[in-house]
Amino acid sequence: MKTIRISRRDFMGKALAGSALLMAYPWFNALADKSSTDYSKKVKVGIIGVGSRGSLLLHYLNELSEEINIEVVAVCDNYEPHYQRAIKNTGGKAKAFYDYRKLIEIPDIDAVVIAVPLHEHAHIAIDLLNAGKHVFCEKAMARHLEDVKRMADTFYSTGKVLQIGHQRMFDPRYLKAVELINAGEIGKITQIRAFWHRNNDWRRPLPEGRTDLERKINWRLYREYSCGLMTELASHQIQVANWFKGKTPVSVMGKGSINYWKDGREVYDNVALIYSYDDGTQFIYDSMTSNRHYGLEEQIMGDEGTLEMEVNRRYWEHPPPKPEPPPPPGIVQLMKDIEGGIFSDAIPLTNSSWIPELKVEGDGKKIVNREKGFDESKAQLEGFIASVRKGEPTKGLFEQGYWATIWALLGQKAMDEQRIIELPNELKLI
Amino acid sequence: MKDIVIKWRHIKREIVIILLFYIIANFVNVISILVYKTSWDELITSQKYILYITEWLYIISIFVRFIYFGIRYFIKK
Repeated sequence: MKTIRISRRDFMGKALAGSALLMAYPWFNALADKSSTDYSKKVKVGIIGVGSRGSLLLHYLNELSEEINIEVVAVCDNYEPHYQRAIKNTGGKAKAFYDYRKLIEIPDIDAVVIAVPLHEHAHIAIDLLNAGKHVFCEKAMARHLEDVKRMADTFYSTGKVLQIGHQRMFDPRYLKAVELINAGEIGKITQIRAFWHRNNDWRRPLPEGRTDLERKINWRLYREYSCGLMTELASHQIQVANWFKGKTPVSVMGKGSINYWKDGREVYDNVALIYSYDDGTQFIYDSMTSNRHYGLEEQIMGDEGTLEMEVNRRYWEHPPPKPEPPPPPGIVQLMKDIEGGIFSDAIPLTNSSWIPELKVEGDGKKIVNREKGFDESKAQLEGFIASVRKGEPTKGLFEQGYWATIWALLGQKAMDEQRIIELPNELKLI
Repeated sequence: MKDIVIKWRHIKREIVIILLFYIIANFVNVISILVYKTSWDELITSQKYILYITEWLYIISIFVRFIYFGIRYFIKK
C-alpha cells in the first residue's frame, strides 16, 4: 500500500475529505469540511488548571486563536505561581480566578478546558456542563468510577460537548492504522501488547521550604488524587487498544507494587495487567518507572502483520520475497563447489532439528509520513473547537474517553483486590 | 656480494609457464560456463578470476619447483 505524506492542515482538510477515515471517525468531519464552517463568531474559551499540561494547552489555544477565531478570555488556577504565569501567558487580557466557580459565572464563555489534578475533574466538569459550557477535560476522566459515570450521565443529559484528552485519536499514524486494520491489512488481531517504561521518580520539585505543598504538587503519587501509572499513562494505551479492537474488554486481572521508589508514594511504581476481550484477544499491558530501555509502545499483532504505533512502523508476517540475486559467474560457482566438496565432511556444531524462533527479519515500513512538528494535542483542541462551533458532541468521541478511564480504574481495582474484575452493570452505557 | 644473473631463457621459461597457466584457467572457465550454463560473456567479464587463478597456479608452481630442486640438490650432494 502506498505511503502517504500528511501535513496537519492537509490532514485536517482536503487529505481526509471523502476518505474512509471520515466515515469511521466522524470527529474529523467538521475539521475536514472547513468551507462550510462559520468562523465569523469568535469562540470564547476559559481554562481551568494552568500547570505543566494546562500551560501547553493554553499555548496551543493562543497559537490557534487567529486561525480558527478563538480567544482565551479567562484563566483559573489556585496555585499562585501558575495563576501568575497564566496571566502573563495571556498578555494580561484574560480574566483570572483562583476559584473555578467564578469562571463559570462569566456568561459568554462558550467552552472550557480542564487541566487540573485528576480528583478535581469530575465536579468541575459536571458544574460546567450543567452551566451550559462545552468542556474539554484532560485524561483520565476522574479518580473514581462513580464520578466517571456521573460525568457520563451529565454529558448525555445536557447534550453539551465533553471531550476527553486522548490525543492519539487525532494522530495520523493511529488513524491510518485503524484504516489498515479495517481493511484487513494485518489480518485478525489476536493480541495487543502495550507498555510505558520510564526511569525516573516522577516527582516534581517543591519550592524551597514548602514541604506542605508535597501532595498538591506531586498529586500523581497519592491514591487520594490519582491511580498513578493507570490513570496518567495506561489510560492512553487502553483507549488505543479498545479503539483498534473496536470493542471494550470483558475482564481484567493484574498485579502491581512499589518495588523501587520506596519514597512515601502510595501509587504503584510498576504494574502488569491482562485485559481480555470477548473474542479471546488479550491486551497485555505493563508500565514501570525504573527502566526505560523499551520506552513506550503499542504493538498490534495480527496473523498477517504487526503495527508498532509509537515508532510508526508496520511489518508483515510473510514479507514479499525479494528478487533473486543474479547467479555468480560459473567460475565462482565452480570454486565454491570445490570448496564445499573439500569441507563437506565438517561436523555440525548443533542439532539441525532445532531452529530458534527469532524475530521476523525486516525493517518494515512507515505507517504514515508525518510532517515534522505535527502535534496531535493541538489537533485535538482544533477538533474540540470544531465541535463547539457545531454546538453538539461528535458521535463516538466521548465514549472512547469513557471506556479508557473505566478500564484504567477497573485495572487498578483488579490489582488492589487481587482478583479478576468484570464490568459492573451500573457502569454500562445505555 | 654475489650478483644474480637472470638470463633471457629463464625469463622466457617463466613467461611460458604463466601463459600455460593462463590458458588452463581460461579452459577451466569454459568448462564452468558449460557446466553451470552461464553466459559466454564471462569469457571476458570473469577475467579478474582468471588472473587470480593464474597467479595462484604460478605461486603453487614456484613452491613445487622449489621443493623438487631442493630434493634433487640434496640427492646429488
